[in-house]
Amino acid sequence: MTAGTAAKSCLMTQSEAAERIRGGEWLAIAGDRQALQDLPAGNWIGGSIPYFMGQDGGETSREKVHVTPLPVGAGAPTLRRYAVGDLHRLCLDGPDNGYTLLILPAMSTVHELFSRKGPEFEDMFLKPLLGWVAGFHLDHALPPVAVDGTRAEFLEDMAVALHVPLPENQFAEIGIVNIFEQDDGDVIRFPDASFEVGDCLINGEPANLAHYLHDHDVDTRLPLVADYCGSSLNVSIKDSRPEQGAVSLYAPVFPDTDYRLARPVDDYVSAFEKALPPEGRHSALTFNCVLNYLYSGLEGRHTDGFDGPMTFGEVAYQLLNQTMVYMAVRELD
Amino acid sequence: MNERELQQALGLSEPWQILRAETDAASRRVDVWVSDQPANAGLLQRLGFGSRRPRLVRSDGERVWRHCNIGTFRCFVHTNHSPSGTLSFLGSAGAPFTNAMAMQISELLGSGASYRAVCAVLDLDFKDVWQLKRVGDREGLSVARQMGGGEEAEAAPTTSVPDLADPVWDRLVAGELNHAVKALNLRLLLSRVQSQLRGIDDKEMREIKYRELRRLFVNNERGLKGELDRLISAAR
Repeated sequence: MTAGTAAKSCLMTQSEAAERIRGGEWLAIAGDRQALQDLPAGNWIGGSIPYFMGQDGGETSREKVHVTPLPVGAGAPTLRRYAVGDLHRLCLDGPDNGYTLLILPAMSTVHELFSRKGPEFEDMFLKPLLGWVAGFHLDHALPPVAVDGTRAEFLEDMAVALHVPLPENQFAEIGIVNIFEQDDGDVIRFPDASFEVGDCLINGEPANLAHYLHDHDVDTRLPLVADYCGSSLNVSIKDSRPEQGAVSLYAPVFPDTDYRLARPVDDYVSAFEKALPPEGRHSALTFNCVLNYLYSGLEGRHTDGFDGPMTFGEVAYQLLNQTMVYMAVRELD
Repeated sequence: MNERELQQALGLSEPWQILRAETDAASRRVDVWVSDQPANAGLLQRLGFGSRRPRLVRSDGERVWRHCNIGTFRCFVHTNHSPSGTLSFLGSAGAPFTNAMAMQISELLGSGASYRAVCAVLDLDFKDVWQLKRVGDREGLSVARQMGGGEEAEAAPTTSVPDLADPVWDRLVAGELNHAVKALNLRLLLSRVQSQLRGIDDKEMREIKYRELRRLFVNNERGLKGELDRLISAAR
């Protein structure tokens, strides 16, 4: 059974958001850096992003902010900041029963460290962890920030996490919706965990990924996909530079993992709605990827069952790309 | 940081010197080539944090060891010199770490830190730390004993999760029960464990990984009820 949330999340003006903050409830707020700047301190955690799936469909706004009331109920949530030196404590600090919401500034050292080493953090996977990577408007690049709303402070090189305990009769469940799956093509393996790749093995033979993408005229909007015991996880391609034999990625690839390019998708919206499970609809907390927003032309279109920020990376335990992440709070029968 | 300061930070002294250094800010990694022979004229490059990608393919005869971190950057020392058990900035034959880094790891493990905490704090790969343990086992070094002592305590006995001796863990890791696994956290951890144990028969390492899986079940009995039911049924 899914527990209800106090109120629905939605896009709103800064003054409406300020009013909600003054109301004292715990909120997750996403908005362009400038839009977040005037919000008062209070019980909120935030990050910069101007792309949303709002109540009226896909929307890019540098003025509005997206506000999600957070499910709470067993003691006060704890907001903590993490730098590179103590990020490895993230999951240890999480409540025994509850969830942790994490926001990482894109391209920061904490973003890099979490992406590459997060799966090895102590207590990783034991406690529900979800979150997203803060970004910027692609035409008006401002440094991405995570926001400690309790002090209304912007952090460019630290992550913020809200550890939220839940009552004993409830538990949080994290899920993902990924419309991409592995195509039947070549198997690609990498020697190291890295955002920057070149040398690799393709079907067991030494090769270079940038040359491969060029020679096979690959649509680089399609991610590399790995299968994790039935869950497809994407790594999106940022750019490929065959002349340098280098490819930049939006998340790291990992060694000892088989990747294949994704099978092309005809229509994102219909594929998404087909893939969205009942528990993912109107769940307590959701994020989707800005690449899905951009590549699938979601501005002005509506994906039924999801609203929230379109981010520079999604966290469902580990960093994902081109994926929707959701959290449902379940009540024991 | 200039060349001399980097040399000092790495623990190099005459006649050892840095031939060149490459940094990859995106991956927070610095690769340093060292030698006890004079550098060829023009070979020494300016040091500094650029964005050049270190070579993944090493030249013939070159050895590489992971050295102590420089700030938040991982440091790798490359050399054509023979392995050394005494120079702090080189490593032993077959070891993944320099002697200085191996000592740092041993001290942390010896102080009671779990292997997982050490990997997280020093930004190390589990497999490399495990390799250090194997080398320690072979050479009778204390790291082997310390590794075993740092593990997490067993879970509470009240749980219905099968114990570690149950063959169901072998079946789970072998992929025989993948169809029964629906929860994302279990899929991610199981996939990781399967990858880490691929081709490895070492009983002790398998037990450490099985313990990680079991702990996930014990801590999430409510969320993993469906998976647990299937696991218990497979265990019968």
